[in-house]
Amino acid sequence: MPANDSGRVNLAMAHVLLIDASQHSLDILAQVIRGFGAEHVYRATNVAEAEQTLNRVSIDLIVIDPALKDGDGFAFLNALRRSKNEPNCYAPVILISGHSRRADVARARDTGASFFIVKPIKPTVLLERILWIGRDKRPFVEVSSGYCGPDRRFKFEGPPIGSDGRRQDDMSSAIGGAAAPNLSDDELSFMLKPQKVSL
Amino acid sequence: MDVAVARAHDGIAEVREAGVAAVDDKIAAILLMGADAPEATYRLSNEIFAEAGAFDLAEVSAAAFSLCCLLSSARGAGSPEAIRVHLNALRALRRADAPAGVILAGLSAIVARYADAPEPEPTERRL
Repeated sequence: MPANDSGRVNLAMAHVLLIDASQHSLDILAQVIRGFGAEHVYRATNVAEAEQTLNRVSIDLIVIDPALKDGDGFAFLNALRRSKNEPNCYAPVILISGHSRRADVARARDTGASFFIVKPIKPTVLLERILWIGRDKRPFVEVSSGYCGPDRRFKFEGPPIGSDGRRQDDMSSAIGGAAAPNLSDDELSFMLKPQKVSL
Repeated sequence: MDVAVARAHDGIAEVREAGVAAVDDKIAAILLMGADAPEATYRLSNEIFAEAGAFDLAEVSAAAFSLCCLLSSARGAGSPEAIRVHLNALRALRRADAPAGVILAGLSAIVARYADAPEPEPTERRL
């Protein structure tokens, strides 16, 4: 679901899977998503229905409330991320939730969702997040400790102090020795001196 | 973007009548369950919170959220009186002349009294 050069996201061709235990919440969500222009909207009220859809359709966006009656939505999402069901295992996921118990917030962070928003659904907020996901350049990572999903780091500020990081592109916090002799005063003055430039 | 959002609001308006009727049915259902089934009451009140909020029944949504907060604390879930006050508040807030501000302030005081620890605010969280 990439954004084009103008930053617009066209949902007309997108296949969107909505998962929520409540039919009425699904009605609201489906109306909102169709209002955004999506024409291929699939609904599931439980894990079994969601898996059936994921096994037959390539999905571009999943919107899920993890409080499902027939199973744990967090576990379902984790299993999807670790599955070989391509391309669906890489589909962007917006996790929506009503009242969240404290433990659920931590699980949501670690479950591989792209974004977490709270109910009641507000069309403006949902659309902003969909547009944001369309522009999202975060890599998909799989960490030995168990996390699998979009990189949870939104800003790259290097590894935590005192650690060497876990990624190949993590730079060491140690500066190391100089690679060349220090510049002289004259060389520094020359660099700082205003130069006349003819255009 | 404004057009898409306006169309989304129009879409919600199309299902509003059926949705509000469903909210009323859910309120009736948890009034019947009472404090005997806290987990089922929590699930239904969470649905009322989300659906009433989407249909601009802000006070009902806030009372349902308050009930969720109460039921997610161990002390609150074990207090039939506090649950019963919330259920009566939900029913009262469906009346047009209900003093919503007074009722919601009372529910807040009850939740604060029974809270195990501060609850997460219903705000957006970025992962």
